[in-house]
Amino acid sequence: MAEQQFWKGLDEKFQDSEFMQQTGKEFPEELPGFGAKLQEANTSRRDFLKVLGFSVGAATIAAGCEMPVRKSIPYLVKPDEITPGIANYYASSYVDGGKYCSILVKTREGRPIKIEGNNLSKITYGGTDAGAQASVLSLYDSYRPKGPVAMTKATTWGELDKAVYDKLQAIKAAGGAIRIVAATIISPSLKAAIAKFTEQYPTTELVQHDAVSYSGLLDANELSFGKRVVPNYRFEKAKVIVSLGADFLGTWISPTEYAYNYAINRKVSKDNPKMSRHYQIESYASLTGLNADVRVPVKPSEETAAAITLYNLVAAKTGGSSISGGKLESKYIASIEAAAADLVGAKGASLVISGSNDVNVQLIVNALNQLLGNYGTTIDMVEYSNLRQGNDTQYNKLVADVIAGTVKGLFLLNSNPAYNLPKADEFIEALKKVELTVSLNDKKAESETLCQYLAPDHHFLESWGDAEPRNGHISIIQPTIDPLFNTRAAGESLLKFAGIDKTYYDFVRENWNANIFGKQSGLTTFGNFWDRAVHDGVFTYTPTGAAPAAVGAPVTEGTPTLAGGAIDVAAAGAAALANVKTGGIEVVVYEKTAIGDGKDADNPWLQELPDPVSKITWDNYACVSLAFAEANKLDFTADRTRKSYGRTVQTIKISANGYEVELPVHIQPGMPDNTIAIALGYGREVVGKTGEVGENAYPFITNYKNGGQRRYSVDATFTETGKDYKLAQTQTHFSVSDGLNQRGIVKTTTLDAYAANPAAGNHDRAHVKDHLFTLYGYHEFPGHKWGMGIDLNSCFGCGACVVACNAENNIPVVGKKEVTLSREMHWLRIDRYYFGDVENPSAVFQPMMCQHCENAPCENVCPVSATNHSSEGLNQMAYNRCIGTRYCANNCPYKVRRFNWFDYWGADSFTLTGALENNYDPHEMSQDLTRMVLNPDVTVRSRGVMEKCSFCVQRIQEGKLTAKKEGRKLKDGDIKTACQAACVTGAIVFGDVNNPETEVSIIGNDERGFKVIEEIHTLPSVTYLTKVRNISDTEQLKAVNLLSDNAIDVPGQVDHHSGAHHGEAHTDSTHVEEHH
Amino acid sequence: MNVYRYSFFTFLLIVALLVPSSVAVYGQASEQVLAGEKIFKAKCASCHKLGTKLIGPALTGVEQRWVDGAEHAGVSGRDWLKRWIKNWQDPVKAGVGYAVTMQSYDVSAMTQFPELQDADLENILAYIANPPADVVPVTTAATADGGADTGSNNTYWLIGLVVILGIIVIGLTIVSGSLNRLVLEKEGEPIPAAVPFWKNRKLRAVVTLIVVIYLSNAVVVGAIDLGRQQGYTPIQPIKFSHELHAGINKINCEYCHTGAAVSKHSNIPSISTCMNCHKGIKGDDPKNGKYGKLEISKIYAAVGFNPIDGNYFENYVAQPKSYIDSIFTIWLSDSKPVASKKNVEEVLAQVQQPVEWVRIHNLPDHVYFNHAQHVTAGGVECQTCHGPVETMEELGQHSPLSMGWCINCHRETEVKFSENPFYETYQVFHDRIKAEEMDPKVTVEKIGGTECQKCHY
Repeated sequence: MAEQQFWKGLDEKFQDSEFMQQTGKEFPEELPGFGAKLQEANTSRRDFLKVLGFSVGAATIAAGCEMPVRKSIPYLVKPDEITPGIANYYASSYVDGGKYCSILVKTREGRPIKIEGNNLSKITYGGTDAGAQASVLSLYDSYRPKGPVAMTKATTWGELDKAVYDKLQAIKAAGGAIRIVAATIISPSLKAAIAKFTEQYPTTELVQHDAVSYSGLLDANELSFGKRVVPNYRFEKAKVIVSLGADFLGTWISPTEYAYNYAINRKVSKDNPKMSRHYQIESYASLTGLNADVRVPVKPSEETAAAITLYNLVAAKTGGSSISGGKLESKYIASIEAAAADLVGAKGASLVISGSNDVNVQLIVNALNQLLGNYGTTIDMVEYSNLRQGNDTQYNKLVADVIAGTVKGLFLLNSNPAYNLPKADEFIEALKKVELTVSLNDKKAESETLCQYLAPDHHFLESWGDAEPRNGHISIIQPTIDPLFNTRAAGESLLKFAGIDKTYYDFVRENWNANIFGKQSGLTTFGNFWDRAVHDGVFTYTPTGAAPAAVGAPVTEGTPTLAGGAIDVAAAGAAALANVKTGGIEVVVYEKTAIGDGKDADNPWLQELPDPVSKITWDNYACVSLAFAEANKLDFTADRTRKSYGRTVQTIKISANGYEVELPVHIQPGMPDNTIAIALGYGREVVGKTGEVGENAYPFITNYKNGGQRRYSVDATFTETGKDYKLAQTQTHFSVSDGLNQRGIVKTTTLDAYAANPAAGNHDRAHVKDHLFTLYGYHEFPGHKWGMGIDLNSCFGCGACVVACNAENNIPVVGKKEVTLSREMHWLRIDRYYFGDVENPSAVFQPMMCQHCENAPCENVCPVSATNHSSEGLNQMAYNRCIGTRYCANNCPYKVRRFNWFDYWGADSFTLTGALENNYDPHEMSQDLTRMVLNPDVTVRSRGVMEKCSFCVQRIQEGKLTAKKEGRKLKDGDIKTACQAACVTGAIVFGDVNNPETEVSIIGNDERGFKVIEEIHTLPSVTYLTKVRNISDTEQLKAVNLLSDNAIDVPGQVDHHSGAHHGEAHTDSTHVEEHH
Repeated sequence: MNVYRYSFFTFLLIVALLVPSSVAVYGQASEQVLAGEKIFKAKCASCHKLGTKLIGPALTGVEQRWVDGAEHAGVSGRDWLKRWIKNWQDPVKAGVGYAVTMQSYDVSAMTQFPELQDADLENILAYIANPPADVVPVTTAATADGGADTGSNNTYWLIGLVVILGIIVIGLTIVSGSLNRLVLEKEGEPIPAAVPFWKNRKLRAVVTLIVVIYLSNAVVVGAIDLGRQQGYTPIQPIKFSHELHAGINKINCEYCHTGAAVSKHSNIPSISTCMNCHKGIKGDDPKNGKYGKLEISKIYAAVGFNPIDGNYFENYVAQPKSYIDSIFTIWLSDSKPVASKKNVEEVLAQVQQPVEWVRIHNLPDHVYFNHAQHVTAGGVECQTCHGPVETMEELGQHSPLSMGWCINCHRETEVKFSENPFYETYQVFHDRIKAEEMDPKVTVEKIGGTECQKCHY
């Protein structure tokens, strides 16, 4: 079999010769770093002895010096709740504009060091996302604003307050307009503070605007239901989900919440072999798309046609009126027909969503859901979501007003128009003439350089506050550390400007007393109620009011007339089609899971987290399809000698919408033709040093007729620059060279096959297990034996676990250059294996970390026994014993060991300079401030030692100790690894394999359970569950075999060329066919 | 090696002496007294002793004093006593005469113990009435001497043996040389000229070998000792005596070092803990010498307590230092014996400043050590590692805190295998012990306590 069934990248797919050579090696280059120099160096025996003598002497002198005197300063009066050495957890909420997560903040000796999910939340269910996990590092960012600034000079709060107050009074006296521009505000108290401000200055208006706008969706709901809200989507009730470009597992509105609910119907078991079916129609390769059962790539301009086509197909079967024109021409049209049929088949239990910002497309989607009877079942309009409230119309008006000079006072609250407003030049010029401009942002941002006054907000971990992400669900934000810098809560600043002298804590508390306390009746005093709310972090009440009925609406832009009982789809369709622009090459912009709209682009953990889809770090790039690249000879090295497959690629200049940008090319399987996709959130200019990567893509955003944000440009042109560029792409780092056909690394099957035989796709396991044999004997595990189970069906690849692992285990950030050398330090990586059509693949996401083999190849080769086996089944790594031979990494078949090429955290006691420089810290992680994020229970590794996943041994020890102290047996679930705790879908399970009743044991005995390359008898402790896809056998057969239908292997033939391999991963579909 | 043997013998002797003797003594005391003693030590002992006054009055005979003097409002004196223990303000408010007198016993008010149940109070009273015969304190120092003696006896024997063998070797060499010469003489062979002993090649080789072995040993031993601080006894900012507090006054270690039982750190107590007692004990009794008053004044200077009027300073850090200095100067001026100028300066240096203790026990960063694991889960006495703290006027590092020392203890110390239900997980071991296939003594090592990742992660 020349081609791969499963492939991480195109080089692997096509067995590129250079790639094949490299995968055989531990590292892609010979002795990276000073390899060439070393080989050329003329080092004599005498030199060697000199160096040897010097180092022994230096070490002796250094070590022989007197031990430093260490001081220990106790508290004067120890706070009751703090015991040094014991972590405290405080319930709080991660809120960043419309991003929300209910969390517990782990603090040690007063320092927040880790974010955990809050299990009490009925929105995020104890899960977190990468952004929430990384937010604790942003707290210790040395680029944060240090205090109030007036006219570029540092000032005091008192002076700033006075200056702003005086100016506001002057504006008020003149009746000038005051505007507060903010990203979506979900805090009731902050809104109350703005109301107080507005009371004082009645010309104030709040303009909410999200960098990536959801205005179309909100407007459509206002037209249809009279309520400008995002409904509560109930993915757990949907049997069929059709998403038109909504990346709901990655970036769309509330991915953590949706992933939890979506996963409920994606998990299968023997007893309940049922799962939802998910269609994704999209114009770039999103995380959600790669997880879908059926995926349809369309050009961005075709999304409208796709919605209309889908609507017409459904309407034809349900008796709705049809929309004329706009039929989608696509080779995947059969998939859309299947989606329509499935939707109709699951009436009342289906869900159609759209990521489009065109109000008309959203109206068509509303009509679709109405036809399918989804309102009240899978779409809840009562407990609606508050997570997006931005309004394009208001925002456009504001921009126009500023340019016209009618706005006299402007406050920026978590808003950065100078960066994310397309064609901002005119606005920026006009901004300089506004009488009063104040930035209340908590981060360094482009816009603050334009503001007269900077009144920096706290980081959310330093501040009081609240959030109402969903109607009836309010949560608390409480401070977990004293403000590190001279910052002040934005709400408090606004109150001060309004002349109200009150701490924000008092204000929030009073607001809760006045407006929220009354919504419950259980607790009679406000003190008790408040304490409970602060303790739990969340408070839930049942909102009153019935679901709004559809009010019907006209759809052409203009005044809504509330006549008619249903949505006028014909008009909506016509308007939607009128809104479509097509032509030539289209440029679509999108958000990446970690970087999002770019506000957190200065967070090194997020930058170094490989994008789940492209596996590229530290950059944005121009995604193109393989056909497009081949037709235009892109993704070749500059000298055109060979295809580069994502390593050293050439850059192109892309121009559209009057904007030009130079970006490296990345061939992204799954991209539609003639389309270039570029991620937003890069190209920041005024930002912490870390954020200065990539190029800004916001200027490619154009406008719909009503002014709404249209996230694509048409008629783009590109020119080659002839320059080479290195992308820090991790997708094929740490690959197993042997090819995957012979090795069952990932396994998939179909739902039908699984229902027929729970071992489908995994039938070679029994054979492998029968042939396991050893000469050496086995370890004994008399007490506990730790193991992990990972369900590939509910891992969607979001990467929250990776960042959680970074935070928990003090994993260093190495920076782009080192990543290109394959030296990233992540203990946990998520391998993304494409399979199927190279133009439109699906993917399996496989979290891969140290497998804690019982028969570990790394242990045998360590000359100093620094890695060895514990009686609890852990593959232990003793850093202080490691001498850095790297034999273990070389011998590890899973490639999960990481070597400290440098001292990244500042752990070494010697500070050397010049050629002996041992510290390498491109992103300022070894500053004292940043180092406050370190977990004090985990050793900070120094240069020259090997490290790897420890199964969070510090948590294991802590859990055991707690049980020991309490004199009880350890319970299943007492110990959760960091990755497990971070995962919202519960894809990762950890526990004691010796106890047959634990969840992990049950997974271990599941028919779907397999271990990676088990046939080499490493006896891994991690069990994966075969990925089950809800597609037909024929589709699966196509997907996992070859591109064309006639290349499908006939059952029986498979065994011909695989006879020699015991570990052959038979495609389960062939297996099923065998039985037919 | 001496070190390990030393601690090993210490351990053996502690086990040998402490366990049987304490069992024997405690065996005579009733359950009630034992329970009472436990509560007494946890809650009362920091302020009360039985026979002598500490902060509070001596408690021997307290029951009788109350029975005799405190019957009031139809409630017996004994019951009033119990109410006093729970909340001393109760009888005072009720106007019990004896209680009102006792109220002014000392400036520091008695702590309230509302959590004590009636049974607890009975137990405490039973203990006060019938304290068990005092167990002879087994000081580690004494047993350690015994251990060292045993060790050095062996060494003397070895040295003696080596000396005797050496003499025999030299003697035999001389004899063999003479015989050789005689043989040569007899056979008429020429007798080689006598080589002076320093030119003897064999001797040179032996001497060189001995020197190399000695030097290598010195290097290895020296290198192993790098970074170790056994015996480290730094000068502390306050001359705090563990002998006085833990030894003579028998204050429980965990009264001050509260973290030891629950956390990885055994914290240095906050100054507020000192003030629990030292609000009342100002060390100004002239018969105790001047240092008590001086050193206690440093605590006051740090925390902001005015020893003259017995109140805390309002808004301490905002007060001008000169004002605070003047108060302390007045306070120290009538010290008997008289405090020197240098003494006073030391106290004034502490005004509005935190107390910077010098940390004695330091482990490298790559070592994870958890006090609670040893104290609470393992039931190890503080003295096992920290030595006879109750005899240390100045505290120093008693144990080497080396890895070998840790490992050795883990090899020898038993876990509470049958008592703690946590170990039920080790069903395999329980089965084997039952079947007598395994030594019922389950050490820390047997449950994995010497594996790398128990301490290094």
